[in-house]
Amino acid sequence: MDKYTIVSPRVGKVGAEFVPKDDAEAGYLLIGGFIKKNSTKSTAPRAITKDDNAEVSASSED
Amino acid sequence: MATTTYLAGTQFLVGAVDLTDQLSSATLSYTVTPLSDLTMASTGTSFVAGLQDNELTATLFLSYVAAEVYATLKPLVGTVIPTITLQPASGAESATNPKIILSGSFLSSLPVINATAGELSTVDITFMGGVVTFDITP
Repeated sequence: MDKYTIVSPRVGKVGAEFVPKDDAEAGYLLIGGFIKKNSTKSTAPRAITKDDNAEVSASSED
Repeated sequence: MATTTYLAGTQFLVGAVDLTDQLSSATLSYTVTPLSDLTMASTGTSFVAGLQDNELTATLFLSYVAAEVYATLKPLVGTVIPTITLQPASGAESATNPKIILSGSFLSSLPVINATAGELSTVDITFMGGVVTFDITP
């Protein structure tokens, strides 16, 4: 579950964790600039390596 | 004297957002629709309680910066607001300082600009319907 931090004193103490009641509330408060989403571990795809390129070249020759 | 003077302090929250410092005035009419149960045996008009038919009007100072009034209200137009909370004064809930919760009201319109030269901009908004409950438990 995503975690959020309060950035506006209108919703609580700035810097404290904010636990939304539901996704709709979280989305609404994010858009309005009241809270921010805590950064999470990157799920970006693995970078292509030299070996990967070699495999692609080999398979395309088949 | 049985009067209440609002020098300051009425709490006003839309969902989790505290707009107390932007609230100029608020009126919540707690209304229960009267249903006539008149019969031929009646000797005068009489009623039983129907559904609640509440209305909250509020005047707020308008600000367009992030995390202010416009950012709070604009996404809510055309939606049902889960909770709006009002309290006569800050501090713990009690019988003399009840927390009034309006649940499930609808915001139909928002004046997105109300500009007059030389004056602070305010907006009058109306939340329609919903159910009012009173919390007096500290």
